[in-house]
Amino acid sequence: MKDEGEPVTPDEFVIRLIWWDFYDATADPVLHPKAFLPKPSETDGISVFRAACLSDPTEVLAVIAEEKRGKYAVAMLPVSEVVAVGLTVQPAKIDAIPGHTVLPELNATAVGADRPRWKLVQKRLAEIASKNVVRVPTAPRQ
Amino acid sequence: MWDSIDPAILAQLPRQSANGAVANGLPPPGRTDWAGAIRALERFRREYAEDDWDGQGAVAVSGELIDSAAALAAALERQGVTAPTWTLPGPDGSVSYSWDLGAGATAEIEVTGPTSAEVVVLASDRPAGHWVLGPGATAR
Repeated sequence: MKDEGEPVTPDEFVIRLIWWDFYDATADPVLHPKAFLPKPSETDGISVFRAACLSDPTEVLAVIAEEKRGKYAVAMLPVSEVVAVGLTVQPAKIDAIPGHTVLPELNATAVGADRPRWKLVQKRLAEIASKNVVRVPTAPRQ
Repeated sequence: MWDSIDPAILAQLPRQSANGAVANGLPPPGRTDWAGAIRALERFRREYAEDDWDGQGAVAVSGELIDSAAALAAALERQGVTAPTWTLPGPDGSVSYSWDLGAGATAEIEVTGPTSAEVVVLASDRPAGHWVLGPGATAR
């Protein structure tokens, strides 16, 4: 495993937590671009985690309250492909788990200023992540 | 409030005539019917009425916005627009209808407030389309 102080390299993967509404096993791709929409508070970019800093990708669920974990999918994206769509991966250390990073360009302010442009980026990220879903939501639909 | 949607916007969406033909040369994309979309809205009303519904700081989806999204669904159905492929809550408190149009093309109507919505159409063979619905709305 890498120490989170080491630089992010193109051969790494980042992990994204995906709320269950944005995952549909019958869709193609299985993830909706909205899985990559920043919240209004995410002015520094959306959150992802470095797989290289964890022993298992599903460790990222530790940042979610236990009762909501079943409502999350976990997907991985190659850093090289994230960079290819014009984004960077920047460390943003948190206490809960190692390897927290952000995609700073994909932030609430930028998206609000030019929705069509960023929807295209979000669509591409959804296509990439759809190929690498490592955990599907486990909670039953109501 | 959604009774007079610009025909230019409707022309971007998949519409089915009485004989089953789909306008715009697009395939029928829906996996759901409009009743399914309304059921999803009612679930959002029950489950996403408070901030942090996703445990990561998502903004509450207001009942007023859901009422507006339901009215928009009724207006689109009256216009013959096929049911959306996805009906989604937004982490910013919005609600969206999204259609997969085939060949990687998508259309999305995002209800951003009780009287406002945005439409974005993405396709590889033309520039992105962006329209705003609501008071003082204009095409962009």
